[in-house]
Amino acid sequence: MTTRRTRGTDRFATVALGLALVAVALLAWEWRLDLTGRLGGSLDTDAADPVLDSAWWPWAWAGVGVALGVVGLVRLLAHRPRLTRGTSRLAASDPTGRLEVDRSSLASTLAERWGELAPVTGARGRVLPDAPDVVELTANVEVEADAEALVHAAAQVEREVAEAFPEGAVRVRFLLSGPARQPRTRRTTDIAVQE
Amino acid sequence: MSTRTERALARPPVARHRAAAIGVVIALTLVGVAVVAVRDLAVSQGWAAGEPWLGAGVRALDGLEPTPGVLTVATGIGAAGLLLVLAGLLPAGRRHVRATDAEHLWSSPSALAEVARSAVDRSQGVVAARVARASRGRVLIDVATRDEGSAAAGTLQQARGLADGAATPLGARRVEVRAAEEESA
Repeated sequence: MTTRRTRGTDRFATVALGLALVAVALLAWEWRLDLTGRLGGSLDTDAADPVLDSAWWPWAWAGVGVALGVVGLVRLLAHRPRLTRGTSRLAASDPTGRLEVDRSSLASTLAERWGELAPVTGARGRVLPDAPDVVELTANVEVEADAEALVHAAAQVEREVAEAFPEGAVRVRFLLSGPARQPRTRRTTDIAVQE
Repeated sequence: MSTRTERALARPPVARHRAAAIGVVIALTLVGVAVVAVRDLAVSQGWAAGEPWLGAGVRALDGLEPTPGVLTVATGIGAAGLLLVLAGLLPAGRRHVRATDAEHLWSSPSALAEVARSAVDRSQGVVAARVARASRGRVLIDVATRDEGSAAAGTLQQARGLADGAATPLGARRVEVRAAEEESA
């Protein structure tokens, strides 16, 4: 999952590219219809020849290209999966010592605890990219799960987290998905029915 | 607790935004532009054989006229542009609903539907229950009952109550239970 900033940049870039493509299409139609009288006739690229043939152009083009490539690489890196790692500082820290909690261990421990208490399968945890103090637990609901048990389990885990971190340094959120798909067996049984 | 944590908890969980995939494609295109630019530099300086691609591309456009073919391509580009604008402006889809009885418990429609289905399936007189439709606004369960006529109507009524009681605490807005139509062989 990406941060809100990355998502915002992606959305801006997508809209900007879309508007640029629409502008190209409108220019092409203007070229054909000649409504403004500024475009018309066939395209003449002779004016670009002195620039393309100049000694400085390949270097300028390479410089701009490499700069764009660096931007592209930075954007690709921004989309890499965010691992749950690092520590959260607890309010009990003071000049005599720091008290920190390992986020990865915390996320897996909370997921395990939720999996024990609730009728869910495949519980896993991670911290939110935008808020490392929030542990998001996701799991598949068990077939035949009871709503009351689900609500009680979530409340119990929240209560335990609040007891462990009374200053609210860690918060938890639960995401329930549908039942996990049953693994398909390759074995089949043929049954012949005789009338 | 920081306001950042509060804000993150207040925001509903959302699906991956469409623009994320487009963002990756744009990033890869930019890297491709860098490769072409460096290749053109190498060719123009004599470090490699060939013709600069950008120069060749620009010169290939010389003499181009607004023919129907060009306009068709341009219209396609414009339509793709409009789709990109829409993809960028529309918000990411929400997949989960918040439970009414637990503030930070969010359920997907399929999770709600399964909980409602299993409650209906345990109801007296129900032979089988199947999820017919599950969305954030509505869960529909098809039920096969043992009885027919008024007894079946009573069973359905009871099943409706059970489904409602099971899925509403998890945030379901509308839970419907209907008699399954018999499948013809």
